[in-house]
Amino acid sequence: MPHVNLPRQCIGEQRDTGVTRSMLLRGGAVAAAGVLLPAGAARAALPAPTPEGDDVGYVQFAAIAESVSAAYWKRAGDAAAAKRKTAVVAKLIAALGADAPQSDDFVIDLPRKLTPAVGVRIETMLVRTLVGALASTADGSTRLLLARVLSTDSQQLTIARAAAKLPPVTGLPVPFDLDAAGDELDTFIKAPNYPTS
Amino acid sequence: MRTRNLLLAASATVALAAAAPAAATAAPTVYAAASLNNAFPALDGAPKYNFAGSNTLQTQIERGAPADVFASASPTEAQALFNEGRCTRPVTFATNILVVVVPKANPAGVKSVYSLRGSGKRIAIGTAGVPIGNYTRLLLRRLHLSSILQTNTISQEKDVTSVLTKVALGSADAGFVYHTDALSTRGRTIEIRVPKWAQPAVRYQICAVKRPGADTAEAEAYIKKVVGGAGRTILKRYGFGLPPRG
Repeated sequence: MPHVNLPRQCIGEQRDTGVTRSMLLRGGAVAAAGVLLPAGAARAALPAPTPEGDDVGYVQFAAIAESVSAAYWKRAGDAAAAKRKTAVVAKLIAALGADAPQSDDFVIDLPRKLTPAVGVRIETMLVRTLVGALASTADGSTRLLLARVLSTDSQQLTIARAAAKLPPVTGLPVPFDLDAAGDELDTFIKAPNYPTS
Repeated sequence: MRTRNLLLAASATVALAAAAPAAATAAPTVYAAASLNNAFPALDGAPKYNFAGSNTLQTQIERGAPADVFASASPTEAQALFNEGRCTRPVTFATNILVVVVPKANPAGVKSVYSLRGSGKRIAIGTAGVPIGNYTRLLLRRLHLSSILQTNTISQEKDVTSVLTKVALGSADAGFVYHTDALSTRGRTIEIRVPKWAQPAVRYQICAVKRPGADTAEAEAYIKKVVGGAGRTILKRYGFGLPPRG
C-alpha cells in the first residue's frame, strides 16, 4: 500500500497526545485571537495580484468595463453603486501596474438615452466575461480579485434586472469569451486620440 | 562694362554656392522612429534623417551619435535619455494604434486578429525591445492571444518597416504594425483593425539631444515645427492621432 502523508487528524488511530489543560487554553486563546483578527489584516496577508501572461487581458477588460459601469450608475443616479464600482476600478488598476489604461486612453460613450436595459447589458457583459475569466486565470491572487469583482457585479446585475423589470438570474450565466465581450465593450468606449483616417 | 558685369555675376554665383553648404549644415540631424519615415520628411525636407527602431536609436545616441533631435515611438526611450541627462524633457506629439496587416491576396484567410489562433500561419512582429514589438506583445496579452506566438511561425523584425515589408512581399501571412504604416502600403496590403479596449497607448515623444556640439537652436526650432500647427496638420494627413494641445 503506497504511503500517503495525510494530516494527523485524518488518521484514525488513537495517540497519546500529551496535551495539558493549560496548553488547550493557550491554544483556545490563540484561535480566538485569530477569529477576532480584523478582516483587513487577513486580507493584507494575501499576496498582491500579479497577473501572469494573458491574465492581464481579463484584468484590463474588467478595468475598462467597470469604468463604463461606474459611469452608467452615476448617470442613473445610484451614487452608492457608482462608488462601489469606482473602488473596484482602483483595485484592478493597481493590479495592472504600469500596463494600466491611462485616463486619456478612452472616453466612455454611453447611449444618450439611458434606459435600465443598458445597465442590464453592461452588467451581463461583466458577469458573463468574469465567469469565463475564473477558469483561465493563472495567478491565484488575480483569480481571487476577479472572483470578488464578479460577486459585486452579480449583485449589481440583480439590481439592474429589477430596475428593468426582469426576473433575477438563476444559476451561473453562460461564459462570454473575450472576443465577443471585447466587441460589446467597444460599443461603450471611444478613443479620442485615435487616428481618424 | 560687360566684362565687369560678368565678373560680378560670377562672383555672386560663387558666393551663393559657398553659402549653400553653410545653410545645409544649419539643418538638424533628426533620429526618428521608423514609423515616422514618411511624415517627417514631408514636414521638413532639410534635416538629415536617420530612421530606425527607437531602441536602436537610443543606443546610438548613448554612444555619442551626432543626433540633434530624437523622436521615439514610445515614451520609454526618450524618457531614458532624459533621465540620463542626454536630452531635454520629452513632449508627446502624436499617437497611433496597432493594426494587423495581411497581404492583399490574403492567402491565409485572416479576417480578424482572432483568426490568428490555431497554427500554421507565418506572422511577422517586432522584436522585444523595439516599441512595435513591445506594444504587440502587450496587445496579445490583453486579447488573451499570446499563444499565437507559440503555435505559428513567427519572424521577429528589427523595426516596423521590416514587418510591413515582409507582409507586403507576401513572406508573412500577417503582421502587427501601426495604422500609419498600413496606410503607406494600401493597395498591397489589407488593414484589419483590432479592438479599441485592448489597444496599448502608443505615444510618440520628441526631445532635443544634449551633447557637445549639438545644434540646440535648430533642434528646438524643428521640435517647435513638429508640435505646432504645421506639424499637427502633416501628422494628421499621414494618419497619426494627435494629443490635446499642450
